[in-house]
Amino acid sequence: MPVDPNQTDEIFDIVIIGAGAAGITLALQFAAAGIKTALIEGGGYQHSDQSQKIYNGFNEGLNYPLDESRLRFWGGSTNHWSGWCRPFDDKAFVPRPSIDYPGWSIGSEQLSPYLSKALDIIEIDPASTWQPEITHNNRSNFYQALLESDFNEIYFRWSPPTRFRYKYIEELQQDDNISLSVNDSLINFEYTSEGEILGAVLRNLETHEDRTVYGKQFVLACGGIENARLLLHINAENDVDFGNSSGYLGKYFMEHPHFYEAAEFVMIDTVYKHDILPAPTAPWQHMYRFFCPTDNFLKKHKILDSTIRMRMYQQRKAMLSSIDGLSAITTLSGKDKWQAGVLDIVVEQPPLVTNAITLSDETDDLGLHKTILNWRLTEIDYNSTRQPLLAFAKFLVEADLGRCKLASWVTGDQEMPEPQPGMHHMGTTRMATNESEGVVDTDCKLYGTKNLYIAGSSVYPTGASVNPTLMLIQLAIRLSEHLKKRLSE
Amino acid sequence: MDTFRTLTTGLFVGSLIISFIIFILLILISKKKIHLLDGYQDPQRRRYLLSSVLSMVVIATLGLKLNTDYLEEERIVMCDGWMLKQKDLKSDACRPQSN
Repeated sequence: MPVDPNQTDEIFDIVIIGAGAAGITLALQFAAAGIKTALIEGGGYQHSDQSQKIYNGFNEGLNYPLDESRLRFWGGSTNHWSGWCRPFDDKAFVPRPSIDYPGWSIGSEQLSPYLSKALDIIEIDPASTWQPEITHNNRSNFYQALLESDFNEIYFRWSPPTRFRYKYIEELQQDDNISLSVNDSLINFEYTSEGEILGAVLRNLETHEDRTVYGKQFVLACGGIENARLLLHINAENDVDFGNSSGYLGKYFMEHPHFYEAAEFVMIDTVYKHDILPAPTAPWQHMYRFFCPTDNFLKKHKILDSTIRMRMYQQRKAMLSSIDGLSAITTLSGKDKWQAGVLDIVVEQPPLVTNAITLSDETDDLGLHKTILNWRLTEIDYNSTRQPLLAFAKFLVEADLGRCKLASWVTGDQEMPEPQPGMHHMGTTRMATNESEGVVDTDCKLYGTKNLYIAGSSVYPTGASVNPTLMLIQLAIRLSEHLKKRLSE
Repeated sequence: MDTFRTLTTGLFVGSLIISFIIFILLILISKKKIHLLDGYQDPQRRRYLLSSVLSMVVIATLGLKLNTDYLEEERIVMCDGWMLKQKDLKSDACRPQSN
Protein backbone atom coordinates (compact mmCIF):
# COMPACT_ATOMS: atom_id res chain seq x y z
CA MET A 1 0.00 0.00 0.00
CA PRO A 2 2.23 2.90 -1.20
CA VAL A 3 1.46 6.28 0.45
CA ASP A 4 2.63 9.84 0.68
CA PRO A 5 5.74 9.90 2.92
CA ASN A 6 4.78 13.33 4.28
CA GLN A 7 1.68 11.97 5.93
CA THR A 8 1.78 12.77 9.66
CA ASP A 9 0.41 10.97 12.67
CA GLU A 10 1.79 9.68 15.97
CA ILE A 11 5.05 8.06 15.03
CA PHE A 12 6.67 5.42 17.24
CA ASP A 13 10.41 4.92 17.26
CA ILE A 14 9.87 1.19 16.95
CA VAL A 15 6.82 -0.81 15.96
CA ILE A 16 7.03 -4.48 16.94
CA ILE A 17 4.46 -6.79 15.40
CA GLY A 18 4.06 -9.94 17.44
CA ALA A 19 4.21 -10.30 21.23
CA GLY A 20 5.92 -13.65 21.59
CA ALA A 21 9.37 -14.46 22.95
CA ALA A 22 11.20 -12.32 20.37
CA GLY A 23 8.77 -9.38 20.38
CA ILE A 24 8.57 -9.13 24.16
CA THR A 25 12.35 -9.45 24.50
CA LEU A 26 12.75 -6.54 22.07
CA ALA A 27 10.15 -4.46 23.91
CA LEU A 28 11.92 -5.07 27.22
CA GLN A 29 15.19 -3.78 25.76
CA PHE A 30 13.54 -0.66 24.30
CA ALA A 31 11.62 0.00 27.51
CA ALA A 32 14.88 -0.06 29.45
CA ALA A 33 16.36 2.41 26.95
CA GLY A 34 13.36 4.76 27.06
CA ILE A 35 12.51 4.25 23.40
CA LYS A 36 8.93 4.91 22.31
CA THR A 37 7.69 1.52 21.17
CA ALA A 38 4.43 -0.01 19.99
CA LEU A 39 4.06 -3.74 20.73
CA ILE A 40 1.21 -5.16 18.70
CA GLU A 41 -0.29 -8.61 19.17
CA GLY A 42 -2.73 -10.24 16.77
CA GLY A 43 -4.39 -12.31 19.50
CA GLY A 44 -5.76 -11.23 22.86
CA TYR A 45 -4.29 -11.40 26.35
CA GLN A 46 -5.89 -14.81 26.73
CA HIS A 47 -6.31 -17.75 24.38
CA SER A 48 -9.36 -17.64 22.11
CA ASP A 49 -10.49 -20.09 19.47
CA GLN A 50 -11.27 -17.20 17.13
CA SER A 51 -7.67 -16.02 17.18
CA GLN A 52 -6.09 -19.48 17.21
CA LYS A 53 -8.09 -20.41 14.11
CA ILE A 54 -6.04 -17.88 12.12
CA TYR A 55 -3.18 -20.39 12.31
CA ASN A 56 -5.09 -23.11 10.48
CA GLY A 57 -3.50 -24.14 7.22
CA PHE A 58 -2.80 -27.04 4.90
CA ASN A 59 -0.09 -29.66 4.58
CA GLU A 60 1.37 -30.84 1.31
CA GLY A 61 4.05 -33.08 2.77
CA LEU A 62 4.19 -34.75 6.15
CA ASN A 63 1.35 -34.09 8.51
CA TYR A 64 2.23 -30.98 10.51
CA PRO A 65 0.04 -29.44 13.23
CA LEU A 66 0.06 -25.86 11.94
CA ASP A 67 -2.50 -24.69 14.46
CA GLU A 68 -1.43 -26.64 17.55
CA SER A 69 2.29 -26.12 17.19
CA ARG A 70 2.12 -22.41 18.04
CA LEU A 71 -0.13 -20.15 20.08
CA ARG A 72 -1.70 -16.91 18.92
CA PHE A 73 -2.13 -14.72 22.00
CA TRP A 74 -0.01 -12.52 24.25
CA GLY A 75 3.23 -14.36 25.05
CA GLY A 76 2.92 -16.45 21.89
CA SER A 77 4.28 -19.97 22.02
CA THR A 78 6.03 -19.31 25.34
CA ASN A 79 2.57 -20.12 26.71
CA HIS A 80 3.22 -23.79 26.00
CA TRP A 81 6.96 -24.23 25.59
CA SER A 82 8.66 -26.80 27.77
CA GLY A 83 11.75 -24.74 28.62
CA TRP A 84 14.60 -26.78 27.10
CA CYS A 85 17.60 -24.53 26.49
CA ARG A 86 21.05 -24.79 25.04
CA PRO A 87 23.07 -22.35 22.92
CA PHE A 88 23.88 -23.48 19.39
CA ASP A 89 27.24 -25.20 19.12
CA ASP A 90 29.89 -23.67 16.86
CA LYS A 91 29.43 -26.40 14.24
CA ALA A 92 25.98 -25.00 13.34
CA PHE A 93 27.64 -21.78 12.16
CA VAL A 94 30.31 -23.34 9.95
CA PRO A 95 29.52 -24.15 6.28
CA ARG A 96 30.00 -27.72 5.04
CA PRO A 97 30.00 -27.52 1.23
CA SER A 98 30.10 -31.32 0.83
CA ILE A 99 26.50 -31.55 2.02
CA ASP A 100 25.28 -28.06 0.98
CA TYR A 101 25.25 -26.95 4.61
CA PRO A 102 25.36 -23.15 4.53
CA GLY A 103 26.40 -22.31 8.08
CA TRP A 104 25.62 -18.80 9.29
CA SER A 105 26.68 -15.44 7.87
CA ILE A 106 27.58 -14.42 11.40
CA GLY A 107 29.73 -16.35 13.83
CA SER A 108 28.78 -17.58 17.27
CA GLU A 109 31.06 -14.86 18.70
CA GLN A 110 28.50 -12.28 17.50
CA LEU A 111 25.79 -13.91 19.60
CA SER A 112 27.65 -15.03 22.72
CA PRO A 113 27.79 -11.47 24.20
CA TYR A 114 23.99 -11.63 24.50
CA LEU A 115 23.81 -15.08 26.08
CA SER A 116 23.92 -13.92 29.66
CA LYS A 117 21.10 -11.40 29.18
CA ALA A 118 19.03 -13.95 27.27
CA LEU A 119 19.39 -16.48 30.08
CA ASP A 120 18.34 -13.87 32.58
CA ILE A 121 15.13 -13.24 30.59
CA ILE A 122 14.20 -16.92 30.68
CA GLU A 123 15.18 -17.25 34.34
CA ILE A 124 18.22 -19.43 33.98
CA ASP A 125 21.15 -18.53 36.19
CA PRO A 126 23.58 -16.84 33.75
CA ALA A 127 26.50 -18.05 35.85
CA SER A 128 25.53 -21.66 35.27
CA THR A 129 27.73 -23.84 33.13
CA TRP A 130 26.83 -25.84 30.03
CA GLN A 131 29.52 -28.45 30.59
CA PRO A 132 29.93 -29.39 34.24
CA GLU A 133 33.37 -30.40 35.34
CA ILE A 134 33.07 -33.97 36.46
CA THR A 135 36.29 -35.19 38.00
CA HIS A 136 37.87 -38.44 36.95
CA ASN A 137 36.98 -39.99 40.29
CA ASN A 138 33.34 -39.14 39.81
CA ARG A 139 33.13 -40.69 36.37
CA SER A 140 31.64 -44.10 35.84
CA ASN A 141 32.80 -46.78 33.44
CA PHE A 142 30.23 -45.43 31.04
CA TYR A 143 32.04 -42.13 30.67
CA GLN A 144 35.46 -43.64 30.51
CA ALA A 145 34.20 -45.57 27.47
CA LEU A 146 32.41 -42.51 26.10
CA LEU A 147 35.70 -40.60 25.91
CA GLU A 148 36.94 -43.10 23.32
CA SER A 149 33.67 -43.22 21.38
CA ASP A 150 32.20 -41.26 18.48
CA PHE A 151 30.00 -39.28 20.88
CA ASN A 152 30.24 -36.25 23.13
CA GLU A 153 28.05 -35.56 26.10
CA ILE A 154 26.15 -32.29 26.00
CA TYR A 155 23.92 -30.72 28.59
CA PHE A 156 20.62 -28.87 28.40
CA ARG A 157 19.26 -26.52 31.01
CA TRP A 158 15.65 -25.81 31.73
CA SER A 159 13.84 -22.55 31.99
CA PRO A 160 11.02 -22.88 34.63
CA PRO A 161 9.65 -22.42 31.77
CA THR A 162 9.16 -18.66 31.72
CA ARG A 163 5.64 -17.75 30.62
CA PHE A 164 6.27 -14.32 29.08
CA ARG A 165 2.59 -13.49 29.37
CA TYR A 166 2.70 -13.49 33.18
CA LYS A 167 6.32 -12.60 33.73
CA TYR A 168 6.60 -9.41 31.71
CA ILE A 169 3.11 -8.03 31.10
CA GLU A 170 2.98 -5.74 34.14
CA GLU A 171 6.44 -4.35 33.51
CA LEU A 172 5.49 -3.44 29.95
CA GLN A 173 2.00 -2.20 30.79
CA GLN A 174 3.40 0.19 33.37
CA ASP A 175 6.12 1.57 31.13
CA ASP A 176 5.13 4.96 29.67
CA ASN A 177 7.24 4.39 26.57
CA ILE A 178 5.58 1.13 25.63
CA SER A 179 2.19 1.07 23.95
CA LEU A 180 0.55 -2.35 23.93
CA SER A 181 -2.30 -3.40 21.70
CA VAL A 182 -4.04 -6.73 21.25
CA ASN A 183 -6.33 -8.29 18.67
CA ASP A 184 -4.65 -6.18 16.00
CA SER A 185 -3.31 -8.25 13.14
CA LEU A 186 -0.92 -7.05 10.51
CA ILE A 187 -2.52 -7.17 7.08
CA ASN A 188 -0.37 -4.76 5.10
CA PHE A 189 2.31 -2.08 5.19
CA GLU A 190 2.29 1.50 4.04
CA TYR A 191 5.58 2.20 2.32
CA THR A 192 7.38 4.51 -0.07
CA SER A 193 8.57 3.50 -3.49
CA GLU A 194 12.12 3.37 -2.02
CA GLY A 195 11.08 0.55 0.29
CA GLU A 196 10.81 2.59 3.47
CA ILE A 197 8.04 1.26 5.67
CA LEU A 198 5.93 4.05 7.12
CA GLY A 199 3.09 2.26 8.78
CA ALA A 200 1.72 -1.13 9.68
CA VAL A 201 -1.89 -1.61 8.62
CA LEU A 202 -3.72 -3.56 11.31
CA ARG A 203 -7.11 -5.24 11.24
CA ASN A 204 -8.99 -5.81 14.47
CA LEU A 205 -9.97 -9.43 14.85
CA GLU A 206 -13.29 -8.64 16.51
CA THR A 207 -14.49 -5.46 14.76
CA HIS A 208 -12.65 -6.02 11.46
CA GLU A 209 -11.83 -2.32 11.46
CA ASP A 210 -8.49 -1.25 10.04
CA ARG A 211 -6.02 1.26 11.45
CA THR A 212 -2.42 2.16 10.76
CA VAL A 213 0.41 2.44 13.27
CA TYR A 214 3.31 4.59 12.12
CA GLY A 215 6.92 4.18 13.10
CA LYS A 216 10.55 4.77 12.21
CA GLN A 217 11.68 1.16 12.46
CA PHE A 218 9.53 -1.95 12.19
CA VAL A 219 10.13 -5.45 13.47
CA LEU A 220 8.11 -8.44 12.38
CA ALA A 221 8.22 -11.02 15.18
CA CYS A 222 5.30 -13.33 14.51
CA GLY A 223 7.08 -16.69 14.50
CA GLY A 224 8.90 -19.03 12.13
CA ILE A 225 5.87 -19.72 9.94
CA GLU A 226 3.84 -16.55 10.29
CA ASN A 227 6.67 -14.15 9.43
CA ALA A 228 6.96 -15.73 5.99
CA ARG A 229 3.22 -16.08 5.50
CA LEU A 230 2.54 -12.40 6.27
CA LEU A 231 5.34 -11.21 3.99
CA LEU A 232 4.20 -13.49 1.17
CA HIS A 233 0.65 -12.19 1.59
CA ILE A 234 1.69 -8.53 1.67
CA ASN A 235 3.97 -9.01 -1.34
CA ALA A 236 1.11 -10.62 -3.26
CA GLU A 237 -1.37 -7.92 -2.25
CA ASN A 238 0.92 -5.10 -3.39
CA ASP A 239 2.65 -6.89 -6.24
CA VAL A 240 6.07 -6.24 -4.68
CA ASP A 241 8.94 -8.53 -3.75
CA PHE A 242 10.08 -7.39 -0.30
CA GLY A 243 12.75 -9.82 0.84
CA ASN A 244 12.07 -12.08 -2.07
CA SER A 245 14.34 -11.07 -4.92
CA SER A 246 16.11 -14.40 -4.28
CA GLY A 247 12.78 -16.24 -4.44
CA TYR A 248 13.65 -17.75 -1.04
CA LEU A 249 10.95 -16.12 1.07
CA GLY A 250 9.06 -18.96 2.74
CA LYS A 251 11.63 -21.53 1.58
CA TYR A 252 14.11 -23.56 3.67
CA PHE A 253 11.63 -24.43 6.38
CA MET A 254 13.37 -26.57 9.00
CA GLU A 255 12.17 -28.57 11.96
CA HIS A 256 13.72 -30.91 14.48
CA PRO A 257 12.28 -34.33 13.69
CA HIS A 258 11.93 -36.36 16.89
CA PHE A 259 12.04 -40.15 16.81
CA TYR A 260 11.04 -41.69 20.10
CA GLU A 261 11.88 -45.20 21.29
CA ALA A 262 14.27 -45.88 18.43
CA ALA A 263 15.92 -48.56 20.53
CA GLU A 264 15.44 -50.31 23.83
CA PHE A 265 18.46 -51.02 25.96
CA VAL A 266 19.38 -52.95 29.04
CA MET A 267 22.43 -51.95 31.05
CA ILE A 268 24.23 -53.06 34.12
CA ASP A 269 22.73 -50.70 36.64
CA THR A 270 26.03 -49.43 38.00
CA VAL A 271 27.56 -48.12 34.80
CA TYR A 272 25.54 -44.97 34.26
CA LYS A 273 24.58 -43.40 37.52
CA HIS A 274 27.84 -42.64 39.25
CA ASP A 275 28.49 -39.24 37.73
CA ILE A 276 28.00 -36.40 40.12
CA LEU A 277 26.44 -33.33 38.53
CA PRO A 278 26.43 -29.87 40.11
CA ALA A 279 23.57 -29.33 42.54
CA PRO A 280 20.72 -27.28 41.04
CA THR A 281 20.49 -23.70 42.28
CA ALA A 282 16.70 -23.72 41.82
CA PRO A 283 14.21 -26.56 41.45
CA TRP A 284 14.22 -26.28 37.65
CA GLN A 285 17.94 -25.61 37.30
CA HIS A 286 18.97 -29.22 36.96
CA MET A 287 20.91 -30.34 33.92
CA TYR A 288 19.86 -32.93 31.40
CA ARG A 289 22.43 -35.00 29.59
CA PHE A 290 22.36 -35.89 25.89
CA PHE A 291 24.86 -37.42 23.51
CA CYS A 292 25.74 -36.03 20.12
CA PRO A 293 28.07 -37.38 17.40
CA THR A 294 31.55 -35.92 17.16
CA ASP A 295 32.44 -33.60 14.29
CA ASN A 296 34.59 -36.34 12.76
CA PHE A 297 31.67 -38.77 12.78
CA LEU A 298 29.42 -36.21 11.08
CA LYS A 299 32.01 -35.51 8.40
CA LYS A 300 32.82 -39.18 7.84
CA HIS A 301 29.18 -40.13 7.30
CA LYS A 302 28.18 -36.84 5.61
CA ILE A 303 25.29 -36.34 7.96
CA LEU A 304 23.86 -33.55 10.11
CA ASP A 305 23.87 -33.18 13.86
CA SER A 306 21.65 -35.03 16.27
CA THR A 307 21.13 -35.49 19.98
CA ILE A 308 20.45 -38.84 21.55
CA ARG A 309 18.72 -39.18 24.88
CA MET A 310 18.92 -42.23 27.13
CA ARG A 311 15.52 -42.33 28.78
CA MET A 312 15.55 -44.70 31.73
CA TYR A 313 12.49 -46.67 32.64
CA GLN A 314 11.43 -46.12 36.21
CA GLN A 315 9.90 -49.58 36.40
CA ARG A 316 12.49 -51.80 34.80
CA LYS A 317 10.20 -54.76 34.29
CA ALA A 318 7.44 -52.76 32.70
CA MET A 319 8.80 -52.23 29.28
CA LEU A 320 10.77 -54.60 27.13
CA SER A 321 9.08 -55.75 23.97
CA SER A 322 10.90 -59.07 24.36
CA ILE A 323 13.21 -60.30 27.05
CA ASP A 324 15.61 -62.29 24.94
CA GLY A 325 18.42 -59.83 25.60
CA LEU A 326 18.08 -60.03 29.34
CA SER A 327 20.05 -63.20 29.83
CA ALA A 328 22.88 -61.56 27.94
CA ILE A 329 22.96 -58.62 30.30
CA THR A 330 22.52 -60.73 33.41
CA THR A 331 25.36 -62.96 32.22
CA LEU A 332 27.39 -59.84 31.62
CA SER A 333 26.82 -58.38 35.05
CA GLY A 334 27.12 -61.72 36.74
CA LYS A 335 24.00 -60.99 38.74
CA ASP A 336 20.47 -59.85 38.25
CA LYS A 337 21.27 -56.14 38.44
CA TRP A 338 20.21 -54.21 35.43
CA GLN A 339 18.23 -51.23 34.34
CA ALA A 340 16.47 -50.53 31.08
CA GLY A 341 15.25 -47.68 28.94
CA VAL A 342 14.93 -46.35 25.43
CA LEU A 343 16.92 -44.19 23.08
CA ASP A 344 15.23 -41.12 21.61
CA ILE A 345 16.83 -38.99 18.93
CA VAL A 346 16.34 -35.42 17.72
CA VAL A 347 17.83 -34.62 14.34
CA GLU A 348 18.99 -31.47 12.62
CA GLN A 349 17.35 -30.97 9.24
CA PRO A 350 19.16 -29.75 6.15
CA PRO A 351 17.85 -26.43 4.83
CA LEU A 352 16.09 -27.47 1.61
CA VAL A 353 14.47 -25.12 -0.84
CA THR A 354 11.66 -27.64 -1.33
CA ASN A 355 10.59 -27.53 2.32
CA ALA A 356 8.56 -24.37 2.04
CA ILE A 357 5.61 -22.24 2.99
CA THR A 358 3.33 -21.02 0.23
CA LEU A 359 -0.08 -19.37 0.21
CA SER A 360 -3.41 -21.04 -0.31
CA ASP A 361 -6.19 -19.40 -2.30
CA GLU A 362 -8.37 -19.84 0.76
CA THR A 363 -8.38 -16.94 3.21
CA ASP A 364 -8.91 -16.73 6.97
CA ASP A 365 -11.23 -14.45 9.01
CA LEU A 366 -8.84 -11.55 8.49
CA GLY A 367 -8.75 -11.98 4.74
CA LEU A 368 -5.17 -13.31 4.80
CA HIS A 369 -4.24 -16.22 2.56
CA LYS A 370 -3.86 -19.40 4.58
CA THR A 371 -0.55 -21.25 4.89
CA ILE A 372 0.38 -24.31 2.89
CA LEU A 373 3.35 -26.11 4.41
CA ASN A 374 5.36 -28.59 2.38
CA TRP A 375 7.54 -30.42 4.89
CA ARG A 376 9.30 -33.63 3.93
CA LEU A 377 12.28 -35.69 5.00
CA THR A 378 15.01 -36.74 2.59
CA GLU A 379 17.78 -39.32 2.52
CA ILE A 380 20.14 -37.14 4.56
CA ASP A 381 17.49 -36.87 7.31
CA TYR A 382 17.22 -40.66 7.39
CA ASN A 383 20.99 -41.14 7.47
CA SER A 384 21.39 -38.46 10.13
CA THR A 385 18.94 -40.47 12.24
CA ARG A 386 20.04 -44.04 11.60
CA GLN A 387 23.82 -43.72 11.61
CA PRO A 388 24.16 -42.17 15.08
CA LEU A 389 21.65 -44.62 16.55
CA LEU A 390 23.53 -47.61 15.14
CA ALA A 391 26.84 -46.18 16.32
CA PHE A 392 25.52 -45.41 19.80
CA ALA A 393 24.10 -48.90 20.17
CA LYS A 394 27.44 -50.30 19.02
CA PHE A 395 29.23 -48.15 21.58
CA LEU A 396 27.09 -49.57 24.39
CA VAL A 397 27.55 -53.15 23.24
CA GLU A 398 31.23 -52.96 22.32
CA ALA A 399 32.19 -51.53 25.71
CA ASP A 400 30.02 -54.18 27.42
CA LEU A 401 27.95 -51.47 29.03
CA GLY A 402 24.72 -53.02 27.88
CA ARG A 403 22.77 -54.50 25.00
CA CYS A 404 20.35 -52.84 22.57
CA LYS A 405 17.26 -53.83 20.67
CA LEU A 406 16.95 -51.56 17.68
CA ALA A 407 13.67 -50.67 16.04
CA SER A 408 13.38 -52.33 12.66
CA TRP A 409 13.47 -48.96 10.88
CA VAL A 410 16.86 -48.25 12.45
CA THR A 411 18.35 -51.44 11.05
CA GLY A 412 16.84 -50.67 7.66
CA ASP A 413 14.42 -53.60 7.72
CA GLN A 414 11.46 -51.24 7.57
CA GLU A 415 10.69 -47.79 6.19
CA MET A 416 11.35 -44.83 8.48
CA PRO A 417 8.23 -43.84 10.42
CA GLU A 418 6.85 -40.31 10.30
CA PRO A 419 8.69 -38.23 12.87
CA GLN A 420 7.09 -36.20 15.57
CA PRO A 421 7.86 -32.53 14.99
CA GLY A 422 9.52 -30.58 17.77
CA MET A 423 7.19 -27.63 17.06
CA HIS A 424 10.32 -25.68 16.15
CA HIS A 425 9.71 -23.57 13.04
CA MET A 426 12.87 -22.24 11.46
CA GLY A 427 14.43 -20.93 8.30
CA THR A 428 11.65 -19.34 6.24
CA THR A 429 13.25 -15.88 6.13
CA ARG A 430 16.86 -17.04 6.12
CA MET A 431 19.79 -14.77 6.83
CA ALA A 432 22.43 -14.32 4.14
CA THR A 433 25.17 -11.84 3.27
CA ASN A 434 23.54 -10.87 -0.01
CA GLU A 435 20.01 -10.73 -1.30
CA SER A 436 20.55 -13.34 -3.98
CA GLU A 437 21.05 -15.96 -1.25
CA GLY A 438 18.62 -14.97 1.45
CA VAL A 439 15.76 -12.89 2.77
CA VAL A 440 17.34 -10.83 5.56
CA ASP A 441 20.83 -9.41 5.96
CA THR A 442 23.17 -10.06 8.88
CA ASP A 443 21.38 -7.37 10.91
CA CYS A 444 18.09 -9.19 10.23
CA LYS A 445 16.86 -6.35 7.98
CA LEU A 446 14.56 -7.53 5.21
CA TYR A 447 16.21 -7.12 1.81
CA GLY A 448 14.38 -4.63 -0.38
CA THR A 449 13.27 -2.51 2.56
CA LYS A 450 15.00 0.25 4.51
CA ASN A 451 13.57 -0.27 7.96
CA LEU A 452 11.77 -3.60 8.30
CA TYR A 453 13.49 -6.20 10.46
CA ILE A 454 12.66 -9.81 11.20
CA ALA A 455 13.00 -11.31 14.67
CA GLY A 456 12.67 -14.96 15.54
CA SER A 457 13.75 -18.38 14.37
CA SER A 458 12.66 -17.73 10.79
CA VAL A 459 16.04 -16.08 10.13
CA TYR A 460 18.06 -19.20 11.03
CA PRO A 461 20.05 -20.47 8.03
CA THR A 462 20.65 -23.74 9.95
CA GLY A 463 18.78 -25.10 12.91
CA ALA A 464 21.36 -27.21 14.81
CA SER A 465 19.82 -30.04 16.82
CA VAL A 466 18.93 -28.05 19.92
CA ASN A 467 15.84 -26.07 20.85
CA PRO A 468 15.56 -22.69 19.13
CA THR A 469 14.15 -20.42 21.86
CA LEU A 470 17.36 -19.36 23.58
CA MET A 471 18.97 -18.51 20.25
CA LEU A 472 16.03 -16.39 19.11
CA ILE A 473 16.18 -14.39 22.34
CA GLN A 474 19.93 -13.84 21.83
CA LEU A 475 19.20 -12.66 18.30
CA ALA A 476 16.41 -10.36 19.49
CA ILE A 477 18.73 -8.68 22.00
CA ARG A 478 21.36 -8.30 19.28
CA LEU A 479 18.73 -6.75 17.00
CA SER A 480 17.66 -4.34 19.75
CA GLU A 481 21.26 -3.13 20.06
CA HIS A 482 21.41 -2.54 16.31
CA LEU A 483 18.11 -0.65 16.29
CA LYS A 484 19.15 1.52 19.23
CA LYS A 485 22.23 2.51 17.23
CA ARG A 486 20.14 3.26 14.15
CA LEU A 487 17.77 5.45 16.14
CA SER A 488 20.64 7.41 17.62
CA GLU A 489 22.17 8.11 14.19
CA MET B 1 42.08 -52.68 23.73
CA ASP B 2 41.02 -54.52 26.87
CA THR B 3 43.32 -56.43 29.24
CA PHE B 4 42.64 -59.93 27.97
CA ARG B 5 43.16 -58.98 24.37
CA THR B 6 46.37 -57.13 25.26
CA LEU B 7 47.62 -60.13 27.21
CA THR B 8 46.94 -62.69 24.51
CA THR B 9 48.32 -60.45 21.79
CA GLY B 10 51.43 -59.93 23.93
CA LEU B 11 51.74 -63.65 24.46
CA PHE B 12 51.55 -64.34 20.75
CA VAL B 13 53.92 -61.60 19.60
CA GLY B 14 56.33 -62.02 22.54
CA SER B 15 56.62 -65.78 22.13
CA LEU B 16 57.19 -65.45 18.41
CA ILE B 17 59.95 -62.90 18.92
CA ILE B 18 61.67 -65.00 21.60
CA SER B 19 61.48 -68.17 19.50
CA PHE B 20 62.84 -66.28 16.50
CA ILE B 21 65.76 -64.92 18.55
CA ILE B 22 66.62 -68.38 19.94
CA PHE B 23 66.35 -69.83 16.47
CA ILE B 24 68.78 -67.24 15.10
CA LEU B 25 71.10 -67.95 18.00
CA LEU B 26 70.94 -71.65 17.18
CA ILE B 27 72.00 -70.98 13.59
CA LEU B 28 74.80 -68.69 14.72
CA ILE B 29 75.99 -71.27 17.26
CA SER B 30 75.97 -74.03 14.65
CA LYS B 31 78.07 -71.83 12.36
CA LYS B 32 80.39 -71.01 15.28
CA LYS B 33 79.89 -67.27 14.83
CA ILE B 34 79.52 -66.47 18.55
CA HIS B 35 82.46 -67.73 20.56
CA LEU B 36 80.87 -66.68 23.85
CA LEU B 37 78.28 -69.41 23.25
CA ASP B 38 80.74 -72.12 22.21
CA GLY B 39 79.57 -74.10 25.23
CA TYR B 40 76.30 -74.65 23.34
CA GLN B 41 78.12 -76.66 20.66
CA ASP B 42 77.21 -79.57 22.86
CA PRO B 43 74.39 -81.42 20.99
CA GLN B 44 72.50 -81.96 24.25
CA ARG B 45 72.42 -78.21 24.96
CA ARG B 46 71.43 -77.47 21.38
CA ARG B 47 68.51 -79.84 21.76
CA TYR B 48 67.41 -77.83 24.82
CA LEU B 49 67.52 -74.67 22.75
CA LEU B 50 65.62 -76.29 19.92
CA SER B 51 62.93 -77.56 22.27
CA SER B 52 62.62 -74.08 23.80
CA VAL B 53 62.06 -72.72 20.28
CA LEU B 54 59.31 -75.26 19.77
CA SER B 55 57.80 -74.43 23.17
CA MET B 56 57.72 -70.78 22.29
CA VAL B 57 56.00 -71.56 18.99
CA VAL B 58 53.39 -73.60 20.88
CA ILE B 59 52.84 -70.73 23.35
CA ALA B 60 52.53 -68.27 20.45
CA THR B 61 49.96 -70.53 18.80
CA LEU B 62 48.04 -70.74 22.06
CA GLY B 63 48.12 -66.93 22.39
CA LEU B 64 46.84 -66.58 18.83
CA LYS B 65 44.08 -69.08 19.43
CA LEU B 66 42.95 -67.40 22.62
CA ASN B 67 43.05 -64.04 20.88
CA THR B 68 40.99 -65.11 17.87
CA ASP B 69 38.50 -66.98 20.08
CA TYR B 70 38.15 -63.88 22.17
CA LEU B 71 37.63 -61.68 19.13
CA GLU B 72 35.01 -64.10 17.86
CA GLU B 73 33.23 -64.04 21.21
CA GLU B 74 33.32 -60.24 21.24
CA ARG B 75 32.08 -59.95 17.67
CA ILE B 76 28.91 -57.87 17.47
CA VAL B 77 25.96 -59.69 15.96
CA MET B 78 22.37 -58.81 15.26
CA CYS B 79 19.90 -61.30 16.62
CA ASP B 80 16.15 -60.81 16.42
CA GLY B 81 16.62 -57.04 16.49
CA TRP B 82 19.08 -57.17 19.39
CA MET B 83 22.59 -55.90 18.97
CA LEU B 84 24.52 -58.47 20.99
CA LYS B 85 27.91 -60.11 21.17
CA GLN B 86 28.58 -63.58 19.82
CA LYS B 87 29.18 -64.83 23.37
CA ASP B 88 25.63 -63.91 24.31
CA LEU B 89 24.32 -66.40 21.80
CA LYS B 90 25.57 -69.28 23.96
CA SER B 91 22.49 -68.72 26.00
CA ASP B 92 19.38 -70.32 24.52
CA ALA B 93 17.33 -67.32 25.55
CA CYS B 94 19.32 -65.10 23.24
CA ARG B 95 18.56 -67.05 20.11
CA PRO B 96 15.82 -65.75 17.85
CA GLN B 97 12.47 -66.84 19.15
CA SER B 98 11.33 -67.72 15.65
CA ASN B 99 13.86 -70.57 15.68
